[in-house]
Amino acid sequence: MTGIFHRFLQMTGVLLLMSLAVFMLIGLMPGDPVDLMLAGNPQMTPEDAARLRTLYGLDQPLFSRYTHWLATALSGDMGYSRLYGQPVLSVIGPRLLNTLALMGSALLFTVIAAIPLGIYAAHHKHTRRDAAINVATLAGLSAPPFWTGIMLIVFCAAQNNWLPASADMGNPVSLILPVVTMGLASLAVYTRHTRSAMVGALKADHIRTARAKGCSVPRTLWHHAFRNAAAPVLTIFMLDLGVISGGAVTIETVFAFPGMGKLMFDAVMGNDYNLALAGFLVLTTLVLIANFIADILYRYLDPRVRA
Amino acid sequence: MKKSLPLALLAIITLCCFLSGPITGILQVSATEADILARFQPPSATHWLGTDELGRDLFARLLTGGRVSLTVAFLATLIACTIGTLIGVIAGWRGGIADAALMRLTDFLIALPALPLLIILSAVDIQKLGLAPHANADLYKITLLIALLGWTTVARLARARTLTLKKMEFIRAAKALGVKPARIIWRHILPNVKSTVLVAAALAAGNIILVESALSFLGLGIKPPAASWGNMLSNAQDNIWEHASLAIWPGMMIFITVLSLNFLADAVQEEKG
Repeated sequence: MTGIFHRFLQMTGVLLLMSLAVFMLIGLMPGDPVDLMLAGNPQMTPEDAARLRTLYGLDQPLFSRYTHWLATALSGDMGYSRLYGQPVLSVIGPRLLNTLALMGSALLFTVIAAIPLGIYAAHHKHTRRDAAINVATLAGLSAPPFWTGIMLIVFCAAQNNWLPASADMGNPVSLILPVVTMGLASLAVYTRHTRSAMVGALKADHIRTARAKGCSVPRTLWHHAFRNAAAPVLTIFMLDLGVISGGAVTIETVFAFPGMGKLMFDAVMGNDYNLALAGFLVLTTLVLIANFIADILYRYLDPRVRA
Repeated sequence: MKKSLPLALLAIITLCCFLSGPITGILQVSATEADILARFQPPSATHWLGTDELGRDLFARLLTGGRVSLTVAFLATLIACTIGTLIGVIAGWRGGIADAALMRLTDFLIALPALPLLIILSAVDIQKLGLAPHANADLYKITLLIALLGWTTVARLARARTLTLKKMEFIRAAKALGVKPARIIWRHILPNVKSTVLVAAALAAGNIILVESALSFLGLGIKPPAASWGNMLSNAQDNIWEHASLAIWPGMMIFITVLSLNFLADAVQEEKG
């Protein structure tokens, strides 16, 4: 219990630190909101601009602006998105759900494929089949995910017209390509992790005993070996969510998928500071929660750590 | 044996990209000169891979773009490996508080969503930091940013190796003989950490090329008119319906380069057993 509480405190600390760091960085980005209003409205005078800066508190030093932001954010108000003309949180809400759905389906597809593949490779260690899987996964690691997406669009949409090229949340068929692209990006990583964990687990003495007493190969693999490999494998899966959420940015851009990654990108490009900051913090929280779950899962799956 | 193919591929790609000046000179093509009358040309004797949406030679752009991408990758890997080795060896050697603090920092950086953070970082206006505008500012900025987030794996591996080395007989003997720590690290630890760092460097370089291509693809890394493999893909994406080959080639270059690096790392790792 104290361990969990400790982790929770740590997460809060990381989030505070990141909000401060990103707030300062945003202060270094070109142009402030008033500059944009000036560009949009030629009738504004420099006096108007100065008045607006005082009104929005932009003439204050950066750090006091941060403490002000933090106080309002803690009361549940993350500010207003300039780009969408809505409160930041109501812009983020649906996008977050979209991204979670995308990542969730990709993860499901990946886990179902990666675990058997990894176990198969480990069981046939140092054979041609293992080497073939090794080459395939290395190739998977080496292709930029957004390029895989573009190539899938070329093949499945542009040349053959099998599937739609851009994502539309109302049409599940249009989500096949983004999910597959995202799944392929992590399939290679997960297969490699599963293989190396299984190679380790298969070395144990009780595996030889199981085989010697006449236990079948599938049962030995799944029941005796994978049980031991499951803890590290699942932990690594959760830890990799941070990397995957990064891939989401480019993949969402390629497929015009209305998710968190594309939102973050649009916010930074459109100088929508409130949205960029809140979006980044939401993504960071997501990754930290995944790490947290990984920690608990590890304790739960491996009795040796529990003691 | 398994190392020679990826090494040869890497050597050919690097050589061609860094000799892009003379090569485009001999072929009499240009990576930057637009020719509106010769847009989307199919491959021909003058334009080996055809021309792009502005009539620029695709082959010439692949080479000059490759030079930029490889320069970023090489410099960023060098910086990342230096930082990573330094931090890893110090953490492993000193242990105690220094180790705990440095590894916490590493864990912290690993836990962050890297690409979103890089998007925010690369949007920072360096003129607001008081730096003068510079012709290659994009290139230096992106290199530094990627390196500053890319050293973590190297640090972890270097630390693990240092910890094993520290317990070995010859290091303990050196300590017992009263050799200064700095000299032990320089003469005994670093040479033995080298092979670990080299594997990590090959993996890091591949990863760095992928990150740079993603940022340039999003328009935040190397910006047009300068070519890089990543930003060539973002132009190509607008034209994939009619001219798919514009999107195939730059991605293929990234893919082959990164694949060679990963194969190299894999082969070296296997050799070590």
